[in-house]
Amino acid sequence: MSPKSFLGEFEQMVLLAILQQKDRAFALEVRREIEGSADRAVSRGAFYTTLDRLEKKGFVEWEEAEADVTGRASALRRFAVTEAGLSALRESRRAFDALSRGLDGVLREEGA
Amino acid sequence: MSPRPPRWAARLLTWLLPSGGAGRSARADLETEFRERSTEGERSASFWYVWEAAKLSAHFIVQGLQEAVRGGRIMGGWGQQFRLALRQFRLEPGFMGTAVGTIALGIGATVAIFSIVEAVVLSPLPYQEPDRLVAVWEWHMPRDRHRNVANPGNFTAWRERTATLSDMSGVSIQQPSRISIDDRTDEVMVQAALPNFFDLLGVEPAVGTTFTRASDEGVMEVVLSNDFWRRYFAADPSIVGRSVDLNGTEGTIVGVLRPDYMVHGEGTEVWRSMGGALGDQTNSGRWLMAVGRLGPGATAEGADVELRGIASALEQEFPDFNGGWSAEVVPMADEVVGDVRTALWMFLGAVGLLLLIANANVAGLFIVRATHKRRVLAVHAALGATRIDLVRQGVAEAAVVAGLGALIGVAGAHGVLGWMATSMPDAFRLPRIEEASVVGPALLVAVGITAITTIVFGALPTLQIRGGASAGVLKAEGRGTSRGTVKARRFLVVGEVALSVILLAGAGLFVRSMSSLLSIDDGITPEHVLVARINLSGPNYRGDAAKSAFFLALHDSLRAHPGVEATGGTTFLPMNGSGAATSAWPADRPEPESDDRRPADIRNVSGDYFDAMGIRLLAGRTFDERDGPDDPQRIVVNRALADRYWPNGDAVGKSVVINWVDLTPWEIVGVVADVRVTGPAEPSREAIYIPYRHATFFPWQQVAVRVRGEPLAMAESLRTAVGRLDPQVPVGQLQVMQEVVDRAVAQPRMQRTLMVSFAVLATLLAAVGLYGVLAYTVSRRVREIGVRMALGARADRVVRNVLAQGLSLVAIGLVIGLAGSAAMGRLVAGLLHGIHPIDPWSMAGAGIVIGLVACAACVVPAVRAARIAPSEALRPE
Repeated sequence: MSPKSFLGEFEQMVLLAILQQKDRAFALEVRREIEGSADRAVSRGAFYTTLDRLEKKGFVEWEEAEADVTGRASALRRFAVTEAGLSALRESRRAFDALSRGLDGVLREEGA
Repeated sequence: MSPRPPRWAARLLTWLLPSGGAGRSARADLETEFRERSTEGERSASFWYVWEAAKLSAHFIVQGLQEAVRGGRIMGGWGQQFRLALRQFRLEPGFMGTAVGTIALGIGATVAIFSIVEAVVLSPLPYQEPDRLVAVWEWHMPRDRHRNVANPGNFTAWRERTATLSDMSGVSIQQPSRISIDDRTDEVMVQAALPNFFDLLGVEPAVGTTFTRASDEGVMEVVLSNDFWRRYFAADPSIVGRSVDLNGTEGTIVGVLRPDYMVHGEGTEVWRSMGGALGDQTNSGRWLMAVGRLGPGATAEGADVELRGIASALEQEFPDFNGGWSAEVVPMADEVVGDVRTALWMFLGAVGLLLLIANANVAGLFIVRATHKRRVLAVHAALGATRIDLVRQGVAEAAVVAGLGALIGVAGAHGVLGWMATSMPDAFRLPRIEEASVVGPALLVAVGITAITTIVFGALPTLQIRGGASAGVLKAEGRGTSRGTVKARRFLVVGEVALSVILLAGAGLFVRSMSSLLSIDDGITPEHVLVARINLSGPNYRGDAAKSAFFLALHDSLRAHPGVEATGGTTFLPMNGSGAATSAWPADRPEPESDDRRPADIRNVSGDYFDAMGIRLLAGRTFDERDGPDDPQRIVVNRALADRYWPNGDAVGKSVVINWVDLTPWEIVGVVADVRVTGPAEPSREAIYIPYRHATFFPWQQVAVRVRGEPLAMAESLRTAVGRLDPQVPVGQLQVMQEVVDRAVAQPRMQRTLMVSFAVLATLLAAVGLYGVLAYTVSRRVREIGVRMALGARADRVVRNVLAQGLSLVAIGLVIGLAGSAAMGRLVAGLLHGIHPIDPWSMAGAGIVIGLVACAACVVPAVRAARIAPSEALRPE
């Protein structure tokens, strides 16, 4: 449960997607956010396993949302990124930015 | 109700996924997405769900195993064994893939077919205590005509005198009738039922009620079929209480049946209650289909004996009407499933063979592999692995293979069943197929057998390793194969070849039987013919003149249409399974005793019916303007009738008495070819054609229009022509004649299709199995062959040696298989037409195909053996 844990690429995506979805961060919406924004198919199994792992690391927490809020038949888990999760994200981003310095020419997308 | 994912898949998920948050979320989300997708089609959504569920389960199983291994949670080292087992997929993709595929195929086919048999044959009817229900028929003993509809007078006597049946009821044969609701008029198929009919069966309606007591007081109540209700009223539940007009009689809709209703009502759209007095033995023919419920302690056999006793008393009481007539009692389940039962049991046998072949394959693969495995295991044992560890490893590997194979197989079976329920062409449909779904017992049997085979043969080699023996195995350099394994392998090759020959020969029988059926001349030319039922029942067309004038005008108007070659009508379509019949005899011979009377089919035809239906004229002429209403009574007969009474071919000009309205003779003016009434399998029956204008007691005509080009393009013109004559007259059962014929041969055609698919699967499996066993044998003998070649053996000698070994086994298998297929031919003889059950062509064909496949399976490994380079073969492992 150390906040120093490294975040994998997929874990970062999951955390960012939860933040994007705000109070609609149910698992299904989070997965769709990733699929839509990152333009990649997300393995269902890997996704739920990652959510569980992030919870164990203390980076996400969840509460049971009532059925009328979800608009679905059953009550669902609504996720939120914890303070530890946020700092892990910031840490990852800092490392990413530091490593990317001076590489704008290389990293710029073709035609952009 | 919102759509639900397939129940078995959902249950599987609950069982396999972790019970905590991740599992629960995954399940809930999958269900939500399923609902979203099912708006575009529930079928494809179900497929999607099953596929996703399979992937998800696989993910969590693998993950669970990995975690268990890491955490040491699985007791006593099982975790490690499973991890090793999963690793085998990377190390031996060929072996593991073949094993999993074989199991999937075997389990998938078995589960799918067994589930169909379950739904169609084994499951109880959806009524109260269905095993207490019976059908009661009359039985004409002199002609051995079983399951004949009953006379209402006889029925009333049965009901009064029976002690074994607690209650009886009945329903009439189907009659087309005109139904008017508000301003709309259509033609529907109607059955009249006694008021207690549905109560006796214990039928629960979908909407409203079935017949109430009001029926007894002369009020006509109407119950709709589920299909008609959906089609006609868009499933509107508020139709209960509305009044309808059936052939001019006012009635009230009281309810709608459920879609699975099935007793004596195939194709019926409306049931009306039948009040008042039934006819008796003097004023009414036979038209009632009787049902009964067995009283406490009574059996169907007991009821049969009792009813036959009552019937023989009735024969004494009404000798004229009941001479030669008895009664018979049949359990209702036999009645509903009928003819397909034998066929389905046979398919179950076929699929059992398939499962056997698949299991033999798996066993073979494991046995062969064991040769190699023994050495590896011996090394493990030498390095300190206990025997328990080794057995565990074997079992774990086998379990993974069996589990994965089963999962894929069941998902495949689910897909096949779904396809059969929705996309199967109507002509091939089985009764009650929509109720088929993957069933527990089938799963249990197929998966159970396969799991046992896999695990036994998977673990077998590990059991042979004992601490002390390992040194011996190691010393043997892995070259030797134990005598037991060799025997088992030979046995398997022989068995597989034999089983495949049996299945393939069976398929050959069905293909040949089907071709012989289809080549029978059914007496008509159905191509380019449109048919429709035009019904004139009701108050506007009382009397012969009105009816025949209508059809005369209709045929004239159709004939004027460009593209129409001929138009005519008949009371009952050929190949459609029903029609009127009565006894007939030559006018110059004495009236036969009631026991000796032979029935002839009676068809009342109008227009140029014979040309329109393509029925060949063999002698004399057909009907024309010389046969007006005031002309003498003339008929056309078929060849069967002409040949029976006038074998010298001089029937034209003779006269026949028809036991119908009166006994005035009818003069024969022509003889036409025989036409089949139910289907090609049935022998020709005697038939008499009467001009419609001479006998309009059936108020309808099945109008047949022969056109140049596409018959359905004529449909609108036909409707318009009828509408112009009388907009109140409905056009019913509009169809292409070819479809009617196709339906008549649908059962044998379906049997052929299924049998051929089994045979193809079996041949494939056998080929894979043979190839696998032989190839593996060769690969394990690399060292030996290498030594031989290093010592100067020629390549062709090596090939011949390997081939001879394989082919001798194949030959033994072929002989056993051919003997077996002769035995099987006898078993299925009742399902074949026009060929001998021991058919040399089918057997030779099967032998040749399997022989060739087996040769191919032997040749590849043999050639590979010859290419072995001695240097490589002798390199130390």
